[in-house]
Amino acid sequence: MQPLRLIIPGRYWDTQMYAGRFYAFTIEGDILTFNWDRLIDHLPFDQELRVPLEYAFQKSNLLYLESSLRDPDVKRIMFSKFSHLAEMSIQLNDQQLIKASVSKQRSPFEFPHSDSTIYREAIYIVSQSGVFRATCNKKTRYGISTKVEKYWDASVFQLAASYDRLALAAGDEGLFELAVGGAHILRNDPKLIAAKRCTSCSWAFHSIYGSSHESTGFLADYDRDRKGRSFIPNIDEKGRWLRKIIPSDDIFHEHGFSWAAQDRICLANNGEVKVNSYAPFQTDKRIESLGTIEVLQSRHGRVIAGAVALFGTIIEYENVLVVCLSDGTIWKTDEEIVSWRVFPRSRNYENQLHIIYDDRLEVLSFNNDYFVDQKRKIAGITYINREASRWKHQIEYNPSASS
Amino acid sequence: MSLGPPVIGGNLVYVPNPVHRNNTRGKSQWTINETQEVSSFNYSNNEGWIRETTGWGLHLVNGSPDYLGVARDHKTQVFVAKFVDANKSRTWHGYPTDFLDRPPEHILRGWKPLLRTRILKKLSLGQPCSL
Repeated sequence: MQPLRLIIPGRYWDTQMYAGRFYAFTIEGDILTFNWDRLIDHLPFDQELRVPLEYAFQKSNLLYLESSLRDPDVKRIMFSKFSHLAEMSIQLNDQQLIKASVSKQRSPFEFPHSDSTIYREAIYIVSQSGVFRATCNKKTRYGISTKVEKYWDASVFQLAASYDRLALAAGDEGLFELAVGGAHILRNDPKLIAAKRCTSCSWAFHSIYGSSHESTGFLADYDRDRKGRSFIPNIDEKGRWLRKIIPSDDIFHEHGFSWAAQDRICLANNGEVKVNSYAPFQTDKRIESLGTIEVLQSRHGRVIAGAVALFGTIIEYENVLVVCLSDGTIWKTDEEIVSWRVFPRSRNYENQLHIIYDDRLEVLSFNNDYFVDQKRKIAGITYINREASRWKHQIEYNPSASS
Repeated sequence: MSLGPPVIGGNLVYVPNPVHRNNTRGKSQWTINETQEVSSFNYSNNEGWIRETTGWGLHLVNGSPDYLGVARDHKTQVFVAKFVDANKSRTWHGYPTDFLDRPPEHILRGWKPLLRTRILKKLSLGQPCSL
């Protein structure tokens, strides 16, 4: 199934999506903030396509929970509606953008930043000058507060947020963690997790994967005790403690660029992507081989970056961006890209892939994964109903929660 | 090790280092000639891309960047030069460098009119890139 495409003309550097707002960083150093729901709600589509449009761009998680999709007739109708929508790429015009505009501001961060993420109503930006934070909670005059705090001085390449922490890829300095949670958490200096070259990082549940082009990637393999037993040395307030650092060579027994997200660890090499599963909640068989995806790299050039989302595994080569979809098909860009971003830990935008081209940005919505057996898929993170698993955990450890 | 003849670049001394021209293993190699290497340094100096003991440069052909050397593997083409005043003696040398060396933000801002956004992005992320 082809993705739905929403095209926004212009020259951009970065994008973010969070809590109904879409942030576009222009190459000129402005930040455009849009009310995403208003923008989608005002698209001129017939009523019969409204529901799939909403799932596709605003509430990606809902369809996973929709039990009626188990009915073959409902499934067929939804599939056909998504396919129909995918045939029409939506190019937004100035009027539509102005209508949904919240603010246009000079970026309070120096151009060019390397990476960004939004976590707990704050945007974090990393660059060679350090780690910076600004509030973006819909209460400030502009989409992003102009009051910027510097959290760290070191040069950072990329970051990822979870468990009240930023994972920071600081190049030759290694992989660090910085506590950034609520007011109750004391902000200390970042903690060195692995003194190995690391230029990108991502969360795999409560563990962190560090990637590098120059040396091997590695998994900072954590355990987590939700009961928070304090006798475990170096346990953090989330009940996490580091078991060991596992180099990618020990995971895959071959070299290549590797990356991970949640229950997937991937390595690209020789036109293939090897996929392993990762189950940090188990004591044994935490990492197991799931299979290999053929990408046929021959003319794609070197591997630049990778990510995993629910809808598939994304690999950026020098000349093309490839998405190995969870339904077994492959989708590619047909022109050079500036950058891209996925939101695998989001609740409503986990099916989106943002691609910035020289003259526009595209928000792509992949909807193949709703129709895939989650237990059998190789490419892509396995869908977990987070609300249900949280509730189950509450009952497990606090029986009174069920009453 | 003998260094080549000193060359004046602006108010600084630039001395090409032969290890970046004689196929020394593990050293990146220039593919442009010495005159072009010095021109690249001069251009960087004039544009303010040289600061304290480090500078960054491009090899411009008709106003557009072109490849200027190969990386330490002697295979991968690279288009960024790094200049250093290693002894803080105002005597500089330079070498082709790859994505592992990130040019600082003020350099990337200066290169904005010269490089495509895609290249700027890769340089800022320390990712492999080609022209």
